[in-house]
Amino acid sequence: MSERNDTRTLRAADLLAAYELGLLAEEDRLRFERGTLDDPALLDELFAYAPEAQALRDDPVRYRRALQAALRQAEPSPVERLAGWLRALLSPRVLVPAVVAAAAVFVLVVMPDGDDLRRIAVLEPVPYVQVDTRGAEFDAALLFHEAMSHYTSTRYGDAARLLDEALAAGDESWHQAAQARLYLGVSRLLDGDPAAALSPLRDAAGSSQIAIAERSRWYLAQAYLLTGEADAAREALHSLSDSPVFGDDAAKQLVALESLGDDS
Amino acid sequence: MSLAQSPLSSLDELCVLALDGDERAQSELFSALRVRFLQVAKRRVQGDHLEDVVQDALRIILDKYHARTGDTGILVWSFTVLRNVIGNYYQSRRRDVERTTYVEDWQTFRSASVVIDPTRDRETAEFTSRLEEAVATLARKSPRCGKLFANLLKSFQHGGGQREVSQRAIEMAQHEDPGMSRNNFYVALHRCRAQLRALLDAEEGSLSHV
Repeated sequence: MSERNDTRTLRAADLLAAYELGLLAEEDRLRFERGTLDDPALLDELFAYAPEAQALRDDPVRYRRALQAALRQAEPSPVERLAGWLRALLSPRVLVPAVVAAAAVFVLVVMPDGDDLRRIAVLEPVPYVQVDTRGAEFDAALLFHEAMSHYTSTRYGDAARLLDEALAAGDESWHQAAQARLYLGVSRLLDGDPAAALSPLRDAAGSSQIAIAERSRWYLAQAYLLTGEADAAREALHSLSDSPVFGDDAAKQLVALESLGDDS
Repeated sequence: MSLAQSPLSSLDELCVLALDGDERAQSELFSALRVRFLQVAKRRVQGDHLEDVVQDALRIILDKYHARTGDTGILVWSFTVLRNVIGNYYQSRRRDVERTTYVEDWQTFRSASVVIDPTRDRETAEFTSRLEEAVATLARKSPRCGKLFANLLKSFQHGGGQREVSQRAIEMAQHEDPGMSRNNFYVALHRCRAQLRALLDAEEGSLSHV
């Protein structure tokens, strides 16, 4: 979703945290400040927590340290994580599609038909977190929302179908188009159709949003590996060399790719 | 609504101009602050003391804002000063509690008994540990909010202007959630702030005041 294309006008109240932490540009700052004149409760809220906002702004190291220590504690241990997966897998809603998806991945990745490229491909779902926002709902957004419900339930085939429809329903200005293309490509990959994943991933890889572009290039590389296109995979992986998120994984995969030699 | 109530520039912009010697901007800034101070203080201070308290706070701000350090916006910083001036007012009235009991929230006003310098009360050890505990609890209860705040604080730590800090924080949030727009980021931050506020309020209830 491009910030340039997300043109919804938020209420002044929604800007409170960003205002008090000094994140707003001049135009939004002015809009928030005018909003406080019509909303005494908003002004009161700003007043009540002014010292906390100032403390977070002035001493980020101290509070970040406290957050990171707590986040480390909050992370489940490997045993807890495994137990969580098992519990989730035992749910009938998840069990059937998960088995289907796992079988597809197994066939594609773990048991390739002698194809070394397929063996080094990595397939993991892109995480997706739903953020409910106000604003006019229209066909593309509704279809996207429904598609992502399927996606998070690992029904990748259904997700791909609806994402396809969402992209057809949305016009060029649809602010979620790049995100929809990324998830369409990933859904097709996870549904066992890497060739069909290439087109939406190529489109999403050209997005101006760095996070979407980098993720798309990573999955594009995986799709190329699965379709046996080593040079294209190599090019996509090289393009990630500066990525703080995918740089290390891309470098490792390039090493694995080069170790296959010219046969690939 | 007068120009003073609704200036054409933000308060931070007026502050920058005022610090550069623009007297009109300074006048506009203090008029805008005064309107907001009266709005907030009238719920906390008796009517016959309201003007005095607001004037005291504005005087301190006028004396100190040139030497202000840190990146906090002028309104947030000014509110910390007003809070402490009101806190000092409560302290001076402690021996006459009966006369102030109708002020609705004085019992819950933080720091009222520890204020010395109206610009510095937030640096008390109690305040710091309370906020540390609240952000840690937030991270444990909602790792997503914890990560959002951790990324934001990391961006503050790296420094830079408003645009740079804001853009960096949003890009870090987008690595967790590629679909997050600037507006979504503000909304998510607002919701996480509401959770943090609830934790601070819960802890506030366990502290004894004044």
